[in-house]
Amino acid sequence: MVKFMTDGWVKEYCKALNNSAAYNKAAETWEGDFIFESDDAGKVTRLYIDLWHGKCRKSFQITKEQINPEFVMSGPYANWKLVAQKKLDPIQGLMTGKFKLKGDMAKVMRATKAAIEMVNAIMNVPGTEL
Amino acid sequence: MWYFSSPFLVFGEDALDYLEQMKMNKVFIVTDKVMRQVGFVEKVEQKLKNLPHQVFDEVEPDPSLETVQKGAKLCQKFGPDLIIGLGGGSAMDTGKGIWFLYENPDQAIDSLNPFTYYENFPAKAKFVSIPTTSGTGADVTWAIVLTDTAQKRKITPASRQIVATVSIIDPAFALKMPPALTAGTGLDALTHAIEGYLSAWRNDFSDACTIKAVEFVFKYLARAYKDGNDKEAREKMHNAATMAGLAFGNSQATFAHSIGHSIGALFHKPHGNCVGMALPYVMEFCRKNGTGVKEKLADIGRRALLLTGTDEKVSEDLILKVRALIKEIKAPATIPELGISKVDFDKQLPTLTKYTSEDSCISMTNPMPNDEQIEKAYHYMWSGKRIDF
Repeated sequence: MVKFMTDGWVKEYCKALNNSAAYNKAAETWEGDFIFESDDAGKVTRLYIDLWHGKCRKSFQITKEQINPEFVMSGPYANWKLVAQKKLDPIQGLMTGKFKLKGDMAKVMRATKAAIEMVNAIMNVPGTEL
Repeated sequence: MWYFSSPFLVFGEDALDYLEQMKMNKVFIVTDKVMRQVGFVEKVEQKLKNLPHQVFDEVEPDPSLETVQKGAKLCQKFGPDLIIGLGGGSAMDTGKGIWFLYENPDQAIDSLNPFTYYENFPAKAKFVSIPTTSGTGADVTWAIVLTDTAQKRKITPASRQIVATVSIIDPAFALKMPPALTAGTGLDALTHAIEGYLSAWRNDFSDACTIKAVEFVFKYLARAYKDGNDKEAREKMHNAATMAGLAFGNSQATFAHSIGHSIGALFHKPHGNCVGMALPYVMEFCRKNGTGVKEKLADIGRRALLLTGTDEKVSEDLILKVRALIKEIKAPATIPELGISKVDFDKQLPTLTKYTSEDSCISMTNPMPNDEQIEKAYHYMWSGKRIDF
């Protein structure tokens, strides 16, 4: 079991992406890194994910590093938890303001399927402890 | 939490008169040359009385990013407080794009997205959509289908903020549609309605629009096709198209649209013909493989067409009815009937499959087909064989 939104979890998430044939295919031309940011009553957790041609190259919880990724997806921890519980469609969450996405939106809009597969994989990390 | 977006709808005979009631000072009309030739631009101009206005009539079928940018520059220079999109889906989508860039000159049209809230938009102008065909639904949707000519691909910038302020659904504009266009656009409406009902994001409000739209398409499309002067059929089909637009616009289209977008981008065939051709194959695929699809199709059949029997029977009967309607209105039922040669089809099949698998609508499909299934479906659509996998 890995605690949700921790260093251990994001490493499992990276494996889940690498094991997802749908993500590998959809993101085969994608180059760009993300930070997932969660705010739990003021306690902010930032998880870094480096994505390259359908694979997750590395992932870790940011502690002191200064990283400026191409994209930041942020939201309250309660909403991230709803995604992991499959109670909230992450794209619908983005569209209804439950999450924010910052970055080059033209790039995302040309890779919608990869983006959908990427966020859907959040729901499919085995052994997630909420 | 979810949303249902819709413009203020003005519909029925003489709906165009509503323009006379709107407060405006300068009007920018986005349309195409055919609309001028058939007198529709003049018809709208008459309602503007002597207000200053400018017509941008350079919208092409499968409009490009460049056309939107060009129109936006002219619009910026003119400075209207009302923009009208007059025509089929291409003109209305281009109008929406021009409206967005006019209001947000520092943005790029391909960066328009549903995840960003655009402050103070709209502030300069209202946007009025006036559909002249009965099918695209672009008058009420919040996506813009554009062609990236460099990459020969369709892109779909989208935001709920670009929903038209007012949509004028005046059936008089539909009277001049030739039979083939009536058939193709009518099937586009049917595809919007049925796909909207099967989509992953379907909801109570979009479902309600689907049922009435499907009922009207089956009742009136063949009549409008056979007699273009049948005013009742024209009006009901015009309304059906908007209802279907509200259905899929608020739930999303699926696999048939991914196929339609891909064939359209590579072969430049009319959108309605492409999605209409694909619709029964997609229904068959989803019925066989999707969770709860048989029940949903049966639900449509019972509510919209009063079909009776088990889910198994009614869902099958609905597909047969779709196939029969396509035949009755002489619309393409296979890829060869779209006018695509075997040589071109074989040459483009890998790209068709790739584009289809990467299209955003595919993600809303229940179930989402893999590449192998997509390619196989194309072979079936080529031969006309019903989907059995």
